[in-house]
Amino acid sequence: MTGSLGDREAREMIESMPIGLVALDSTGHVVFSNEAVTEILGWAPDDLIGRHFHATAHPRRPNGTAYPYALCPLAATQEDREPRTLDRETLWRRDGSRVICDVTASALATGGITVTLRDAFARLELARAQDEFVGVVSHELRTPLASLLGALKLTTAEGLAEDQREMLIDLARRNADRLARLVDDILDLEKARSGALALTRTEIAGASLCASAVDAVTGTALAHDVTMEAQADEDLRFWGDRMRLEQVLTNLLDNAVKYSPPGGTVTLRMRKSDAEVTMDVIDEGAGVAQEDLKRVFDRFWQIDSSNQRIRQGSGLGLTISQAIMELHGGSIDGTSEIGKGTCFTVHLPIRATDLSVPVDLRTPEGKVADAPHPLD
Amino acid sequence: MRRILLIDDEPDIRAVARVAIEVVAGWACDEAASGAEGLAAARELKPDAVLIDMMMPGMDGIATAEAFRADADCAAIPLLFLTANGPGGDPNWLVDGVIGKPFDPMTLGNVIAQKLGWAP
Repeated sequence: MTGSLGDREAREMIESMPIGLVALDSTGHVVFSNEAVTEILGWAPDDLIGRHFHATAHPRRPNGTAYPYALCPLAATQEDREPRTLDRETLWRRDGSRVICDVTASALATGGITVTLRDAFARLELARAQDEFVGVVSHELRTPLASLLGALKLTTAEGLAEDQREMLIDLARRNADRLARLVDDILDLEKARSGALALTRTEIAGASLCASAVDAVTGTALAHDVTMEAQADEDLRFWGDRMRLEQVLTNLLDNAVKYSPPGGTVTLRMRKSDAEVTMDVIDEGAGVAQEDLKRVFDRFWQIDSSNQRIRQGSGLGLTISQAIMELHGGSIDGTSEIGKGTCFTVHLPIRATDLSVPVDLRTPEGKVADAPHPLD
Repeated sequence: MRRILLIDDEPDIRAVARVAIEVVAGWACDEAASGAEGLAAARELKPDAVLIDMMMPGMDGIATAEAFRADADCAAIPLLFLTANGPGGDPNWLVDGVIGKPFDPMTLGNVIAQKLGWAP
């Protein structure tokens, strides 16, 4: 079937597109403005239409002096019908604050022009965040890699004692493990970010999930002299991605153990309340300050402990866990008291649809999917 | 015998560098996990040179080098930065040289000697 785009569809697309778009008549007055312009300039379409665009959003230069319309490149496009691009142009918002935009102007057949606006700062901010992420990732990857390579090279050094050689081999193995975990975590995070992290939901027995998660951290708990306790209702059953939920609980338990004092106890408690299953991971560690509690979900954020970061983890576990719970329609939050300990609570909603839709057709939103995702 | 003090927050990097300095170069090596710990150790041990990791949480390499230069007892001790990617600019005004990370443990001693003009 071939079809053409109707006026209504075209208008809807333009109104909702993420780039600011205004159409001006031949005198420079606004005849159309979309939603994104409201975001960028603070002018709703109805308020902006009829106003002179330059006089409203472009009346002054960045230094505050008057900017005559006759000297504005938009006026030049109006005049010669040639398209123009202005990078990092200062525009003025409705509230008088300034906003830096990438602006284009092009002529319309009707005699007016269209102007597009993109918030340049938002773009730069995103690029900066990505640069920072690459910087941290490369540091986090290089450090274990340097230890691993250095240790392996030294195993052949002349005069090396046998216990030193064993220490180096053990060090190399630990760093290879750390690298492997980090690579897994980075891939998971990237999948979550790009929307390729899909859930395979099945019916789960709470007690069995509890037991597997506790099993996974038993070794670490023994090494830190921490006692594990698990409490789950016998008949607790719910729907979710078993492997991913186990990953969430393992991440939380692993953290709880590592931040526990020797002789401490970590408790995993799984209960059903009205419309959700809650899973509490409670430790008796040093606790986290209220302002830091939000940051624990940030990528690579780890608690400084007497100026030495506890580095057994990748610093990505909680970020990934948060993403997994969001896919389940749930969340993770925490409460903490300095000197007493921390409790992270996983919230997993129980939905009516869980009882009626076949498992393999389920998507995170609880809708029926057309086909399996190619990356599943 | 030469005595090196190594300041790095990564215990495994310290372990590797220590073996490189003690076994391959044949010098004495002391470790510190932070700038503050390193400065205290240097006052006590009077090392012949200090290797400082640039990227450390809290007091970073530059802050550590500044603290050494401002300390009456330690101002004259030769300092070398260990860095994977410097923060931009030339940090040499503060230290006597820069050693790239990852370093080759088999030649670390030679590189230190060369940067500081020590006789082989």
